[in-house]
Amino acid sequence: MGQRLSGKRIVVTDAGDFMGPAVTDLFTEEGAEVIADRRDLRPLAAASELIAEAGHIDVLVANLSIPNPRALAHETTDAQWAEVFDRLVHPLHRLCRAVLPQMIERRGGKIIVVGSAAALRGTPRRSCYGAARGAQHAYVRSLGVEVAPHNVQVNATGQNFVENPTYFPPEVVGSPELQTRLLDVPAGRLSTGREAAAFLLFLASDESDFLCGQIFPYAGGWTA
Amino acid sequence: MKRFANRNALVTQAGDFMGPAVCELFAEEGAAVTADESDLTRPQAADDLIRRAGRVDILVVNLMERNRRHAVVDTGDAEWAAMFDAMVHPLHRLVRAVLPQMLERRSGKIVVMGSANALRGTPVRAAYSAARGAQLAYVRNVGIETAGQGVNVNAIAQNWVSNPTSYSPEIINAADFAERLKAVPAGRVAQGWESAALALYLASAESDFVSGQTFAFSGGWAV
Repeated sequence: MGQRLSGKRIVVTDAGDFMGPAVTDLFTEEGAEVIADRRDLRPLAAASELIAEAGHIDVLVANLSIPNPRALAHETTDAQWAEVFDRLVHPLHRLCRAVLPQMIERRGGKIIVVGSAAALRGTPRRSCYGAARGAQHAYVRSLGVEVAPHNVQVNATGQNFVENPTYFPPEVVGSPELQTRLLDVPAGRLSTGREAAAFLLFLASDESDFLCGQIFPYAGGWTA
Repeated sequence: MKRFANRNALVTQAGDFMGPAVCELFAEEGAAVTADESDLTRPQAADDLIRRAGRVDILVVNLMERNRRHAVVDTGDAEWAAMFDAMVHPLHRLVRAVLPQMLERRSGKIVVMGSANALRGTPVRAAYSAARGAQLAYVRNVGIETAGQGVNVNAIAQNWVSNPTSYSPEIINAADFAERLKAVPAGRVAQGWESAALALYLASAESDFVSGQTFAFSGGWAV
């Protein structure tokens, strides 16, 4: 590969989970200095502490996840609901609020939200999870047009059926149930994490300077 | 590294709209680019073109009919038909003609250079926008029809991108343009290469998992 992110300092949150490993690997290969953070972002001060410690940040990859969040709506307790939003939604705002001042001051920066296609197409037992992922997308849409005049780009993906340690770990990938689920995926297969990271690379590179506030499905045609 | 070494790319209506920017970038990436400028409104034209082109790894469907900007009540049948004859019917004929070879090889990329006018309403563009909308709906369906067979079909829905047809230097330098640009969060017009870079992604192996999808590219205008 090339050096499409040469000289850029990039923070990846929840770096051990979801798309963290694939993004960290690919972005590092492309010349970025990746700060792969793994702290718990639920404490109120965690996001601002992370941004302060990281210093100069060209690209923030808001990679937030919660494992296996499936529950029937009428059985979803307030505590479960709050847990999903505490992990996926509230840290997103705190991260953006903390990192935007330096990006606006420099008139340059990118925020990429690794989102989910669960916000784009309905599935049973994902009402809470889908709502939280939907909140991420709505936030990106608004924030993206808010900061675009400052030459800061905020965009999100809506992914599904991508190999990753949180939602599609090896034991899921090898299960008979997955073959049934794949019947619903036009591509007929899972994406590798690296493939999905290639689109995030596009969003992190200078090639995407004209894109802002946009949601990009990445799901093998499942949302098409 | 050249991302399109040994790839044959066919770009339609290559002198208009995104043709020049796409041809230039794809050639830089090593593709053998056929920059076609033939009139594709004849029913037989698409078949003839694909036959002449031979092996096509990447088809960039770049079709553009100049928007005449008439209110709906003033949009005659001839203008309506012209939009669909130029932008919609050739799309199907091109895709129908090129798919057999791509499906046989279980490999191919079709990128439709569409318009964000299909995503956000504006006055006096109903005929143009309807034709652009038909393109995106077509892509959504054919994209999932071919997704499991190694062929990816996707569209870019762009606006506010410098190009010789709809954002020519005369338009961009016109007195009223700064006022129009206030509707664009990015506050500027994109260079042609920027949209071509997204087309490059959609024509490369990196996007093998993406099909039937529309990618808005409008500086936040169509968010």
